[in-house]
Amino acid sequence: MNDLLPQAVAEPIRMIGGMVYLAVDTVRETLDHVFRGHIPFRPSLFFGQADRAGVGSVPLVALISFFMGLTMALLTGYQLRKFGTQNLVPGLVGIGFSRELGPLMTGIMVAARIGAAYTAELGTMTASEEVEAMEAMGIGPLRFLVAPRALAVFLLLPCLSVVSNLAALAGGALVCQKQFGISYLYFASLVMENLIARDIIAGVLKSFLFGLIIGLISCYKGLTVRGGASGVGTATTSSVVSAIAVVIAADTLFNIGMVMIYE
Amino acid sequence: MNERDHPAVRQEPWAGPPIVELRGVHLEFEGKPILRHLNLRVERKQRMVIMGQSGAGKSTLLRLILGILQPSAGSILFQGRNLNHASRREVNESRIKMGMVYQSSALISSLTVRDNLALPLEELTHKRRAEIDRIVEEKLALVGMEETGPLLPNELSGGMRKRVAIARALVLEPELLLFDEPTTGLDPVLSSVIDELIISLTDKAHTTSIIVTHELSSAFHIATRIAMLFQGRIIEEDRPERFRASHNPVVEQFIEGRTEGPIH
Ligand SMILES: Nc1ncnc2c1ncn2[C@@H]1O[C@H](COP(=O)(O)OP(=O)(O)O)[C@@H](O)[C@H]1O
Ligand SMILES: [Mg+2]
Repeated sequence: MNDLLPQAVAEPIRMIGGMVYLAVDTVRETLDHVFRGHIPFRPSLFFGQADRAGVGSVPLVALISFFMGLTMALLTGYQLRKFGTQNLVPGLVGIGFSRELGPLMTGIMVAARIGAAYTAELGTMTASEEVEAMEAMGIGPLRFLVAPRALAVFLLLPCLSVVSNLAALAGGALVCQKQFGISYLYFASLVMENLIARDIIAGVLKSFLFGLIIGLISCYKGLTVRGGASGVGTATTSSVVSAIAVVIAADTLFNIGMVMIYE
Repeated sequence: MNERDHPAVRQEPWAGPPIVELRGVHLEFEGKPILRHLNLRVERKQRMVIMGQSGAGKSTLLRLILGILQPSAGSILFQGRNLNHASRREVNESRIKMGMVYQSSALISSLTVRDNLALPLEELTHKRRAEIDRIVEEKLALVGMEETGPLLPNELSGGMRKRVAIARALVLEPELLLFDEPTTGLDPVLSSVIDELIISLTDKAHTTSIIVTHELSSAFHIATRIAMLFQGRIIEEDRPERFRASHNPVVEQFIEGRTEGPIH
C-alpha cells in the first residue's frame, strides 16, 4: 500500500478505516457483554467521564464563547451602524453561533482539552500493557475504556454547544446594550425573531457529529500508540491536530450539504 | 470437530484432551516468520516451562494462547475448542479460564491493588460486594500482600507488583495460568518465593501452568515438562531430567551457556 499511495494519502485512509473498525468493534464488544448477562458498563464510569468532559469544560467554553460573542457584536456593530442597521447584530450573533461558531468552537476546545487527555491516558495504558491485560482477562478494553469515553463526548458536546451559544449571546447583549443602545429585552426579541429551528437543529446535529469524531479519533490514537512515553506524546499531538482538522473538514462538508439541500 | 466426541482419537483417554494444543502454528510479523509450524501439547496439571532466547517468540506464543494474536496458519485449541474459529464471546469465555501474569505485571495504574483484584470479579461475575472483598483478601493473603490493598501499583516494588499480578490472575480461579518471565529481574530470594508459589498453586488448586523463563535453576525446579523454542519451532520437549541429558546441540548450548554453537 505504501508503494502505491503516497504517505499523505495512505495515512488518513488507514486512520479512517481504523476508526470505523474501532466504532464497530466497541459496539460489538459492548453488546456481547450485555448478551452475557451484564450491564454494558458501570454507570459510574460514564458519569465520571461525563463530569470530566462536560462539566469540567463549561468554564473554558463559556469564557471563550463570551468573548467571541462580544467581539463579533463589536466588530459587526460598528460597521452596521454606518448604515443604521445595528439592529441586525443580535440576529447575526444568534445565527452565527447556533449553527456555526458554537459547535465549531466547542469542538475545537473539547478536542484540545478532552481529546488530548483521552489519547494520553489510553496511550499510557497501551504502552504499559494495561490494555492488553484487560483483554487477556476477558474484560474487554473497548467496552470498558472506549465506550464510556466516546459516549461522554458524543452526548455532552451538544450540551456544551448550548453553553457556548448562551455565553456568546450574553457577550453580544452586553456590547449591544453598552454601545448600540439595544436593551437586553430587545436583544432577546431580535434573536428570537431571526433564529429559525433549522439553525438550531443543524447546530445540534453538528455537535453530535463532532463529538463522535473527537471521541473516536482520540481513543483510536491512544490505543494505537507505539514506542513508550515519546510515542504517547506524539500520539497526543497527532490526536489533537487530526481531531481539529477533521472537525473543521466535517463542518465544511456539513455546510455545503445544508446549502445544497435548502438554498 | 470436537475431540471429545471421538474417544478413539484421544491419546490418553484417562486425562481428557490436552488443556492447550498448538497444531502447526505459523506466525509472521511484517513478513518475518516468528513461529514456524509449531506444535505443542500441554496436558492438565502440568507445569510446562518454555525456554528460548530473547526474541525467540515466547511472549508471542502466550499471546496466541490468549487469543490476542491470530496465527497466519495452524490452530490453537484450548480445552479441545479451536480459538481461531471461535466467536468473540467464546474467546472471552476461554480467557476467563486463563490467568496471565505479564512480565511487566501490567496492573491498572489508576486503581489500587484491591481494586485491581476486584475488577475482573466486578466485571465478569455476579458476585456480591462482600464475597468479592473476601476473595480479594484471600488471594492477597495467598501471595503475602495483604498489607498492600489500599496502595497504588506505582507505590510498590517490582517484586510486590509481580506478586499482586499473580494474585490478580488467580481471582477468577483459572484452570490455566500463564507466566511471562515471572522471576526475571527479581532478587534470588524473591525468585524462589515466586517459584514455590507457582509450584504450590498447581499442586493445590490443580491448575495447569505455562511458564516462560530463562532462568535455568528455576526452570528445572518448577517444571514437570520443559520445551525449548528455537527458530520458531519447539525443538525439544521432555521431562526435566531427560531434557537436561538431551544431546540436541541447541539445548546443550543453552543449558551450558556457551557462546559457540547453533545459537548466536
Ligand atoms: N507487535 C509486534 N509487531 C512486530 N514484531 C513483533 C511484535 N511483537 C513481537 N515482535 C517480534 O517478534 C519476535 C518475538 O518477540 P517476543 O515473543 O516478545 O520474544 P520473547 O518473548 O521470546 O523475547 C521479536 O523479534 C519481536 O521483535
Ligand atoms: Mg518476552
